Amino acid sequence: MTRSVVYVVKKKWVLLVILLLLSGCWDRKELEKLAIVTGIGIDYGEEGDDYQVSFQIARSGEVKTPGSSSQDGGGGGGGSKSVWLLKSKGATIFDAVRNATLQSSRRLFLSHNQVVIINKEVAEKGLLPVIDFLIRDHEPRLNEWLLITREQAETILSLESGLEKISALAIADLMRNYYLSSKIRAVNLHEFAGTLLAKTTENTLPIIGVVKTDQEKGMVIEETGIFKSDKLIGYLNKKETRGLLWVLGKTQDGVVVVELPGEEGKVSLEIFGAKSKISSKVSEGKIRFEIDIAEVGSLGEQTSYANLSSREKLSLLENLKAKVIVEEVEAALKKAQECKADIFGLGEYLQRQNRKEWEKVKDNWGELFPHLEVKVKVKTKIRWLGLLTKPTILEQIK
Amino acid sequence: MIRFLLRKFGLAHLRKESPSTPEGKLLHSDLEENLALFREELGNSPDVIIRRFTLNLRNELKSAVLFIDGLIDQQVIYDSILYPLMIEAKKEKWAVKGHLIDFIEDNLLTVGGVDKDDRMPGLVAAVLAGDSVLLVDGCDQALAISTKGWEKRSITEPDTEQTIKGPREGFTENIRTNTAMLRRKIADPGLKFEQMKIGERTRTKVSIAYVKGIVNEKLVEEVRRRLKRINTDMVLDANYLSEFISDAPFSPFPTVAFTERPDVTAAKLLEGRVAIFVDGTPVVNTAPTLFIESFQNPDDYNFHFLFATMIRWIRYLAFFLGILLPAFFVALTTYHQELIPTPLLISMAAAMEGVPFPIVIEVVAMGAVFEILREAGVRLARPIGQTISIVGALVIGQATVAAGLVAAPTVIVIALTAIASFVVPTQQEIGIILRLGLTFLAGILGAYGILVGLLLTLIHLTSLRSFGVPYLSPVIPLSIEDQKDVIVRTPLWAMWTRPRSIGWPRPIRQGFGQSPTSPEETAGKDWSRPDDKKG
Amino acid sequence: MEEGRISSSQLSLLAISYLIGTTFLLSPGSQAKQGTWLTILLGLGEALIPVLIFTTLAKRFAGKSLIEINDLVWGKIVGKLFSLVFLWYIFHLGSASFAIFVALFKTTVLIATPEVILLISGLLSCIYVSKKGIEVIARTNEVLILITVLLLILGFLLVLNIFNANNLFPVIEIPITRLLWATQESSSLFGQTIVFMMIFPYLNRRKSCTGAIIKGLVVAAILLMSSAVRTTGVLGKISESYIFPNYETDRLIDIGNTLTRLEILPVLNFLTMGFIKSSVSLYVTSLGTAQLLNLRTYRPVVIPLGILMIIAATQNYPDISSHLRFVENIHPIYALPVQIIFPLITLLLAIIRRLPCQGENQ
Repeated sequence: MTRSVVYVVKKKWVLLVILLLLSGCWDRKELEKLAIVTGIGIDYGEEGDDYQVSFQIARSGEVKTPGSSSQDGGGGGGGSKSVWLLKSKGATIFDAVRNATLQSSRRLFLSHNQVVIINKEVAEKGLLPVIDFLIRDHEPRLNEWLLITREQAETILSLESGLEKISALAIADLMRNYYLSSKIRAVNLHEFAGTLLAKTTENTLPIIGVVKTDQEKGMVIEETGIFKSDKLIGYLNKKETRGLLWVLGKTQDGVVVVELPGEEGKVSLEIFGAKSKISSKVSEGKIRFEIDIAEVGSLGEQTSYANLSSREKLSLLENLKAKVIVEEVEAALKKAQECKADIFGLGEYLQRQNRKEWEKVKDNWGELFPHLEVKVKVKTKIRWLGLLTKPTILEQIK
Repeated sequence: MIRFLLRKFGLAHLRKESPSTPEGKLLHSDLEENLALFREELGNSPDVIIRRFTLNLRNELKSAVLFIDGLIDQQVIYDSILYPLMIEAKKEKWAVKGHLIDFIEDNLLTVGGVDKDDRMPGLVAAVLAGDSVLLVDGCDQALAISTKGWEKRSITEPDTEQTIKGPREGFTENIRTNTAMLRRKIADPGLKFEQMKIGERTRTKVSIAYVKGIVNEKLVEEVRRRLKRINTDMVLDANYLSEFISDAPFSPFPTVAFTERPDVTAAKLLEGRVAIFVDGTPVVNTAPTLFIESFQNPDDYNFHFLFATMIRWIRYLAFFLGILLPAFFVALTTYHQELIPTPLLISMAAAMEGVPFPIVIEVVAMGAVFEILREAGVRLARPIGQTISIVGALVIGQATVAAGLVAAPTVIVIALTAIASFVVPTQQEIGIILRLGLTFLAGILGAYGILVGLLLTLIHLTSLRSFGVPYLSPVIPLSIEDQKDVIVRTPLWAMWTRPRSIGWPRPIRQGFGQSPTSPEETAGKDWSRPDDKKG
Repeated sequence: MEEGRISSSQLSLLAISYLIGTTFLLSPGSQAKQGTWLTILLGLGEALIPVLIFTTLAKRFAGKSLIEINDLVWGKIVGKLFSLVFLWYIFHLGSASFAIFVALFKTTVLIATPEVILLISGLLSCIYVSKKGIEVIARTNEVLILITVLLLILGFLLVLNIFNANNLFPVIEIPITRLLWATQESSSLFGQTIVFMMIFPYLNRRKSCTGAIIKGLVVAAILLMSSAVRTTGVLGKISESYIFPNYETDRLIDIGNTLTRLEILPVLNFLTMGFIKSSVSLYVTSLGTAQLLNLRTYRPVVIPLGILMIIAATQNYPDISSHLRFVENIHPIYALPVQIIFPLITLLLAIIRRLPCQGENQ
């Protein structure tokens, strides 16, 4: 028996394995020793050149799961906060991340970061210095949402969401649900970085702000920022944002409100989906674009008393809806052309469809863009009426 | 001389059935001297019975029957030995021709097995095996008469291999009963048994069984060879043999399989394998063994093939879960927290808040506690055993979590692993070793460590052979047609070939294309109504 | 020296794993952006030249490994020099494979762990399997390649919701010189299969080596092309900014917010391919060294060569970008002597000298 034991031990690989086992582990990150960062906010520091980075860190102990044994009786909302806002300064973002350990007992863990909120002044100076760390480092992930804010980023991160315990998760969900209103332009880091490498297309990012009621402050997204390369230069309001989304083909849901001519009342027409087709034509040295949007929707709500279920009425509504869409798109176009920013990706369509022409103009696209002729054609269909055929009231004959 | 040298170097082989004691003494012609010889060998044990009587052949001859009480069937001795010799012999008294012993053997003993011998070692061995020895005064030869009979366990269902829809027979400790059960399953004359006795002191009867014509003769030869070279004191159990003949003694993977069921044994023999019966244990060894066999259960063939296929897959899943779950849990929570979805991570972090030990330690410790509980439950007598498991689980699990010693996710993981590891019973031995090894590796290097561990295991498995057959057949080397019992359990009418790697001497076992169909004549006819016109 | 035998399909699978080995991480031809898949196709065509040359050479001297062939054709001294160059090349490939995987792990997963530990753990498996022989390597590979192909298909499916076909166009935007260079990159990649010249003697059917290698090349090319298409389709223009574009693509997998963060699975999967590449390289180097030095068996050489390999892995590339430069700029030229020139002149000389004489062939 002993002979075989000695034989086994004498084999060198056993020694090697034992060595490996005894040497300890380096990358071990104990779960309890991590500060899980859910949101990052970037502002300028007081000195102007360095950054003040805020980290929203989830306090796991306070985020009570149902049924877990909690020592203090449930404090409900108001009680202990489920997140901790840590502010740290640094010459660069990475510097600020490491400087955070001067204040935090735990190592910052960035892999679960959901959102990056950037102050508009930083955005105006250029975003690349700020996002390089987020892409280069292996911890942050590329599907984080990027947002700009007119306030201080730390203000946004310290807002409480009405429903979620961790507000960064709430913002992320806001972004994911952009299609419900189709008035939010949601962009993640991957898309933003990709568009930075595009020759002609420019970026847009959503802008998050604060909405105040008497007691509370909440978050709201009402604008979209237009970028030239990585610098913020202009804004789109809600209507223009949706115009942008129509062209990008990202409208999946949402409501278009039309007013009935000749009758009182508004009709909410729901969007079920829209597709956009962009074609470029070159004639007489001029470049023309045509944007065809096809949309399908339903009648969602009416404040009018009339029975709108007849084909003529519905056709009328379809035309009204189309008009609204055209308005939105043209508004977005106008703004974009003012800023000389091709946020729609029209240049790429030209590149695909008319190579030669594109080669001629690609270096000058910024200047050329405002002078492009763009025609918008919209076709809508209303196929469904919800559950009602006509409003539940006695028809009033006028 | 040669025997002396062989003895000196401890290399005496087991040849025939004689022990390596000094040359057998010859019998004397005198009864009393012979009996003295026996008493010298067997001592004065109270179970050695010497029944003296007078044999009335030619003359009044003093005779004796010597046997060991408890090993013999008394009825046989009374009816077939004593009665004919004491009563019937009188009628033949003067008809004796030739040698007396031969006459007795030919005409008087109405028993199945009779052997003539004149050397002590053979006769003593026979007595110890349950035969009776007949000594007649004046003859220097004796007869060893087969009178075996002892208390046996009746045929019951084996505890460890239970089926829901299959036969409930299991092997017993008597090798003859077992071989008989096998004969009833395989009525083919090709079923052959080869018997040998292994174990110096236990002289255990070991039988190799195979179906000639289906099995590869080289395999039988190899099994024979390996069994013959065993030189040991005792063979008390099937495992004693399997450890001596296995291909890779240090590997945790079994290259010799066990079963207690005759239907399973029969099926394996008909695939071209060899079975090894060991007297004294209901467990039968089969060789060669493939990795895939541990996932095959006789019940698979008793259920609908779709269900059986699903269950197979659940078994594969359970096996991998049982090995990998704790290791992955450790790896993910210690090294790769980025791979856990955010809400889950936050809840887990909440659950693990305040736990003092690193997760590796916890997982290993809880695993050890679980093994202790399991072992205790097995060793204790039934009623207490069940209480222990319940008490253990509830108290230990609940209390440690509440006290903050162990986190709830850890307990869940260990419990899941434990249950998963019971699904494939054969793999329990392997499972524990692999699980432990992988958990350690995961604790050191995270997922990379798991990969290294899995790679090493895989390499070991692919290099393993069981009696010449690659261990991972039919997956590696890939045999598409053999997948019919690996990935899925195809309907029985579709399993028309034997496994390629083992049954290749006679690959076809049933007719091809026997999927049941309705007879053509019934097309359009409704057989549920009587055929008369008035119907 | 080696009693095992492998079938030609096992050889094809080995070839596939060898080629996939590291290219899923550091893909050659990524300079070509949208045209990557095209360069792979062209490279495949070009690679037929070295493949045909060395398989013809192998078939001519059926049953002999390259070392032995060199000895026969060039004589003891010069032949050994040629063999030495070949062995060094294979050794280099093996150590490069180790280096790439350590690079991947140190940048993404296990950052603080010292390189040595990662290398040694990987080396353990390679040594184990090399010592077991070519049969075990081939059989292990069967399992691993099966899993790999399944995961590749899965990886393609999971990515469909972020796949943007527009990223693949325009196709022909690359200047011709870059295209040619990238083609040469892929071709020198496929030419690495010359390593199997040492394994041909152990095939079941000696004549099937050409078919086996070509089958392996074609399948590997298909896999690489589909991977290139996938990466370009998902990442678009960013793919050239990343060191490990395939890894980044996997990071983006997100189905319904549930099936996400799965990137460790492809990483582990490619690690197994790298393991095969390193193991085959180590095995071939050991076998070749043993034949070169006329040893009785190759097994004692495995461990020392393995250790040297991982030392080389740490020393050869001071930083990851020099490794990238090696793959993109240096290897295409560096491989030419070993893959094309030497086998070609060996073959020509063999023909001229009418070797092997009839008696030497079995």
